[in-house]
Amino acid sequence: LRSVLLGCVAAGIFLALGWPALVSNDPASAAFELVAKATAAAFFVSLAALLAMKARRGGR
Amino acid sequence: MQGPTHLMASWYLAEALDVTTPRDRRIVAWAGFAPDFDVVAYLAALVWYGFDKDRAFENVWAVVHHRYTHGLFFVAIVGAASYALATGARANKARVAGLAAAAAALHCFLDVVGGGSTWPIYPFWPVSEASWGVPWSWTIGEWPNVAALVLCLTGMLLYARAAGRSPLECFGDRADRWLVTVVRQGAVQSSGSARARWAIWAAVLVATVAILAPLGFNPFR
Repeated sequence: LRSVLLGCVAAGIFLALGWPALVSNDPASAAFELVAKATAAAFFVSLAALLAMKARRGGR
Repeated sequence: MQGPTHLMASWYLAEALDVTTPRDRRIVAWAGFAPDFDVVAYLAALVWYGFDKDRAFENVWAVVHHRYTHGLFFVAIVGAASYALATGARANKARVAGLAAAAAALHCFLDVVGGGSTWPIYPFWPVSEASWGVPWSWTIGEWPNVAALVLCLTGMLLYARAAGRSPLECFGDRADRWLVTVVRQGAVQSSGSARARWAIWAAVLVATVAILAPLGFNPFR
């Protein structure tokens, strides 16, 4: 789960700061929309899941 | 996304990745919020234009917001500042600085997705004026942004109760201890703590409405 979260962080950074220079700067790109929305959703879900697990251990 | 969402999400990120000291978690959290420090320019413009909101918005905020602080250059500044502020051995300082820079960069991503289509970021300023934004970006009052904010606020209370710390740590250890004490006193059922808990829930509700109402959020529309 930790790897998923780190992957989402890396993907988000690439989508914001690398994608327009390295892949496409087309704002209407359907591929970007799909990947960006999936990354944002996965980031919040994996973050919540990791914290829920940590909370069950009393924050340790 | 809203500033409070960025701040809380960054604190949660630091907590999830086992940043151990409150000071280091604060550094990562405020680094995640840092790209929105450009709001200072809007406040200064308000004063400059005699509290004429339209002129301040048109002449300053519309030009400044996202341009100078939502890109690689500012992310690098945040990373360097975080390294200087972090404590402990070099390895820990480097880890905190890396996470802080990542939180600031993630802010840029979340603003591409949820900052509104009229607010592109400028990833390569000052090297390039090229902007990056998408037409489908959620405006600040749309439900995904609202859901993220409400989840972060609710998560703050639940996590404080379970783990004994919360994003309120960003504002100091005393503030965090106060929240944790109040939310953990549920079993004691003293009338004072019950009143305080209700006051906190009411404050969360009022804060949510206060943040969203000026942004045009209307769930019944």
